[in-house]
Amino acid sequence: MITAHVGFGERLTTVCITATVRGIAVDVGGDAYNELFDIFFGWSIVVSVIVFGWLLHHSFFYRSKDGETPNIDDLVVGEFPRHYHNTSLEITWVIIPTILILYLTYISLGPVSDVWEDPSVVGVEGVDYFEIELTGSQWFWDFDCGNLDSDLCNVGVDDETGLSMLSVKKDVVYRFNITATDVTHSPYFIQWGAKEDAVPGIYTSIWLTPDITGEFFIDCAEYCGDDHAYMTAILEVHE
Amino acid sequence: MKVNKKIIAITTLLIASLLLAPSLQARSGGINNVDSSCTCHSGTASSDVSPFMTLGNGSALPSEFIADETYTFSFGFTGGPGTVTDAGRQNTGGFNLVANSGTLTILDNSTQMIAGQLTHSTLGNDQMNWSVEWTAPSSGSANFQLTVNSVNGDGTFGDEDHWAQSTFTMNAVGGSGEVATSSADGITVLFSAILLVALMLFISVIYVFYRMSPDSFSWSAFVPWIADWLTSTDHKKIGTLYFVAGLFYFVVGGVIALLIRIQLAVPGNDFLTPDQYNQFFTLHGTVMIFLAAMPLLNGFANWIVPLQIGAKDLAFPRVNAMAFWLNPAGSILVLCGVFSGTGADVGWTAYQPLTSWVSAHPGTTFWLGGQIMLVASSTLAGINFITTICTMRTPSMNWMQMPLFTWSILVSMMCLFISIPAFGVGLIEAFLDRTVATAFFNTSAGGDPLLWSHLFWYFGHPEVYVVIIPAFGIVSEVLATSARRSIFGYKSMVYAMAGIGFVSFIVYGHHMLTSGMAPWLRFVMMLTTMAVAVPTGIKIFNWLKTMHGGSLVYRTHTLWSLGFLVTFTLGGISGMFFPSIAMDTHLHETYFVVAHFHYVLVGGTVFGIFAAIYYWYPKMTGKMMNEKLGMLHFLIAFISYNGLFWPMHRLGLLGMTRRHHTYFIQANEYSDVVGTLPAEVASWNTFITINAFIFGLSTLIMVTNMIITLVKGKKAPADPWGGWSFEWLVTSPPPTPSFDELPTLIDVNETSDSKKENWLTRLMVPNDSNEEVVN
Repeated sequence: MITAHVGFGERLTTVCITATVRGIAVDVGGDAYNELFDIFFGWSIVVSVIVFGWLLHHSFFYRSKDGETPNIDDLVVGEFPRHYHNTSLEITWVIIPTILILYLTYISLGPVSDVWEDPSVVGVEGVDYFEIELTGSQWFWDFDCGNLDSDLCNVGVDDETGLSMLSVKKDVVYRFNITATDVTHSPYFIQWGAKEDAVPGIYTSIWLTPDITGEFFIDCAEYCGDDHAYMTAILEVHE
Repeated sequence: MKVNKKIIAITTLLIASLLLAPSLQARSGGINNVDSSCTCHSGTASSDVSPFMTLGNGSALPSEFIADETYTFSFGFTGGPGTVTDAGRQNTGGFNLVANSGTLTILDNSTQMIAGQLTHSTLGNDQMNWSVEWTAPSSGSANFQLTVNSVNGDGTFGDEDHWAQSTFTMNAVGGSGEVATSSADGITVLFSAILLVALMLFISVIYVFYRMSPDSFSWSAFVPWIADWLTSTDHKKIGTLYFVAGLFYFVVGGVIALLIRIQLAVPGNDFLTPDQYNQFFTLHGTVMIFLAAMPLLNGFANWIVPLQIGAKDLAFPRVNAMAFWLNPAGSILVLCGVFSGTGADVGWTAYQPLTSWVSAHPGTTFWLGGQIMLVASSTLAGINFITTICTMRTPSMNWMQMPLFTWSILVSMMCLFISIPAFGVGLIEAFLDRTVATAFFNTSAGGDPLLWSHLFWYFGHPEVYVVIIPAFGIVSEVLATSARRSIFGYKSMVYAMAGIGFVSFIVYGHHMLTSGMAPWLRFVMMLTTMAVAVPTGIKIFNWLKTMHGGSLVYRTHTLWSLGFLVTFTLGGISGMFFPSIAMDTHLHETYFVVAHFHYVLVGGTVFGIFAAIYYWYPKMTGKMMNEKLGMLHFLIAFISYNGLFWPMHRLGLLGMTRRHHTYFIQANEYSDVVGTLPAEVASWNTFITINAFIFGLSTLIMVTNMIITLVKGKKAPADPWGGWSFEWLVTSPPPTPSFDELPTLIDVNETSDSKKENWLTRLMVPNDSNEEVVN
C-alpha cells in the first residue's frame, strides 16, 4: 500500500539551500505526506517565483536615481493622499489565491483517512487490523500487545541501548490506542511522519501500516519534562 | 539635599541586603538537595548501611581513569532495613549520585537525571543496586558523592529508615589530582548576563542624564529628572519607557537564545543540563513575545498613534502609565526563578498537567503570577487604544482616512482585547491548581488537559497576529513613503487587516491538529486556516503594486521593509504546509514549525520593528540616524538571519523534534551512539549556531547607531522622509503637548464625487456625526 519514497528532501536541498550538499537520501514521512509535500512544494515555488520576481524587478526598476527628489503622488503633510487603486486588479488577487487554496484544501482532505480512519471502515478488529496499546510515562514508552500473536506484536528491550522495543509485522494494519499516565506526551513515528498526542485521561488513536523492514525510532514530540529528549523507543518491523 | 540623603541611605541598605542575601548561594544548598540527607525519607544516618561503588563487571573502582574514556559503574548499598526482604515490602532502596566532573549517562529506566543529579526512578525504587555510564573528563580528578537510602518499605517515613553517604574518588592517569577548571554553568551565565544588561541599562540612564547638560551637571538634579520619567503620564515618555524596557528584554531573550544555540551546536552536548535547557526555552518564548515584541510595538503605538490621529494624548493617560508599569513588575516575577536555578520549565505554551501538577520548580508559580500581571497590562492597553482611536481622532478625520499604522494598532488591540481574557482565565486556573490545589487540570480528579490547550490557543493564535499586524502597518507606511506614492488599495488594505483579525479567532485549532481533539473539529480548522492566505496575499500584492510606477528611495527603513516582504512571504508559504493534516502529523512539533514561526515573528515582527526604529527615530529624538551603519546592520542581519532559520526547515523535515535538550545522529565513523537523525543534522546545527551569533551581534550595530546618533547625530527636520500623516507635521522631537490646536485633515480625493455613499460604505464607514467626539 505504501511505497518507500525518496526524494523530497534531496530536491529541497538542491533547489533551496545549496547545490553542494547532496546525495543523502532522506526517507521519512508516509506516502500521503510525501505526495502532498511535493504538490505543496511545487506551488510554493510558483508563488515564490511570482512574488520575488515581482519584488526584485520593482526594487531595481523603480528605484530613484541619485539626487532625485520625486513625489509621484504629491504627498503633502496633513493631506490624505490621492487614492491609488484598481478594483479589478484587487479582485483578481482575491480570486486567484482563493482558487489555489480551495484546490490545496481539497487535495488535503483525502489523505486524512490515513491518519484517523473510522475503524468500521477498515474492517473487523483482529482480522483486518490489530490494536496495540501505547502508554507514555515520564520518560519511557510502554506497549501492550493484548493477546496478539508474538509474530504480530512483541514487546522487548533492546540489548544494546536498553530502550523498550516493539516488534511488528510488515504490511499489517495496526491501530495504536494511545494514552499517558502523568503528563501529555506524543509518540512520533519519525519514519512514517505520524504522531498523535498521548493525553492522560483520554484515549487517542493513530493508524500505522509499517511498509519497510528494519529498526526505526519512536520519539516524544510533546514537551514532557526533563528527559523529554531521551524518551525514545525502537520499532522493529520484520517480514 | 534632604531627598538625596534618603536615597543614598536606601541604596546603601539595598546593596548591603543584596550582598548579604543568600539567594546566589542558595542553589547549591537549596530545596531538593541531598548534600546532607535524603529528601524522600526523613530517616537517620546509620553505619549499618554501607554504600558501594564498583566497575560494571564487579571489579573494584580503579584509582585512576583514562581521559575521555567511558566507564560503566555498578553501585548500591548493603545492610539496613532495606535488605530485610519480607514479602509485600516495596520501595526498599533509593540513591542519589553526584559526579563533580565528567558526564553521567543513564542506562535504563531504573534511574533518572534530576537537575544534573542521578537518582532512582519509580521503577528503580525496589532495587538495591543500580548501574550508570560515566564519561571521564580530559583531566583532573572526579569525586562521586553517593547517598543511599535503605528503607523498610512500610510506606511511611520515619526513623526506622536509614541512609548513608560515601565519596569515591578517581584521578586522571598521571594527573596530579587537581580539579579541572570548571566549565561555565549555563544558568550562571544567564543570570550574570541579565544582571550585566541591567547594569548597562543603569549606566546608560546615568550617561543620558549627563549628556543632557554636560556643563551644568549636578547630582541634585538627577532625582527630579528620573522621578519625572518614572511618574510621567505623557504618551511620548511612556512610549520611550516601553521602548527601553522592550529593548532590554530583547537583549535578555537574545542571550537566552544564544545559550540555547550553544547547547544545540553539536550533538550530545552537555553545556546545559536538561533542567536548565527547559527553563531557557520557556523563558526565551515568554520574554521575546510578552516582554520584548509587545512592549516595543506598544512603544511605537504610544508614540505615534496620538500624533497620527491628531490627539494630544491617549484617552486615559494614567491607565496608560499603569499598563506600562505592570510590565516590569510582571517581568520580575516571570524571571525571578532563574536566580535560584528553578525558573519555569514548562514551555511558553505551558501544556497541562505538566505545568500545574508535575513541574516542581517554584519559578513556574511565579511565572504564572507574572503573566497574570502582563494580561492585566494588555487589557488596560487594549481599552486605552481602542477608546483613543474611536473617540479622539481629530474631528476632520474619518475612519477611512486614518493612517494604516493607526488602523493596524486598532485591529491588533481589538484582537488582544478580545482574546486575552481566555488566557487570563487559564493562567488563574493553573495558578490556583499550583497554589491551592484546585483540580482544573488534575486528570486523576477529572480535570481536562485539553481545556488548557483550548484556552491557551484561543488567545495564542490571535496573539501572534497582535504582534504581526502592527508590523503590517509599519511596512505600509514605510513602503508607501519610500516609494513616494500613496499606498495601493488603501481600503482593501484596511479590509484585509480587519479580515486577518477576524480569521485569527477561528483558526486557533490548527495548533492542536495532533492534540487528540475530535477529528471533525480538525477538518474545520484545516479549512479556516487555509483561508488566512487570502487576506495576507492581498496585503503582499498591494505592497508590491505600491512600488509600481513609484520612485523607491533607498533608506535603511526601506531595506528593512523589502527584507520584511521576502522573509514574511517565505514564512507565509511555509505556514501553508501545516493546515494540511496529513502533512501536519509529520511537521507538527518539529523544527519546521520552529523555522516557520521564526520566519514570521523575526522576519515579520522584528524586521518591522527595525524598520520602524529607523523610520521614526528621527521623529522621536530629533536626530538623523547614520545610514551607513544602518545599511551594514541590514546586510549582516539579513544574511545571517536566513542562515540561522532557513536550515531549520530541513532539520524539521528530517524529523528533528522541538524542545529536545539534545539530539543524537546515527552511527558514523566518529561516533557509535545510536541516534535518530542523519549525520548532516549536526553540521546544519553548527552552521545555525554560528549564524545565530552573527545575527545577535549585528543587533549591537543598531544599538551603537542609536547611541551615537543621540549624542552627535545631525538635527532632523520635521518631515525627513516626506510622509503625509500628522506625525510629520510637528517638530522633531515633538513638543508637549504635541499640538497647540488640533490639526485639520484635508482629503485631496473629496473634491470630486468620491463622497458618494453606497450600501457598503454606509455599512463599513459609519457617519461619525452620530458619535460623541471628545477632545
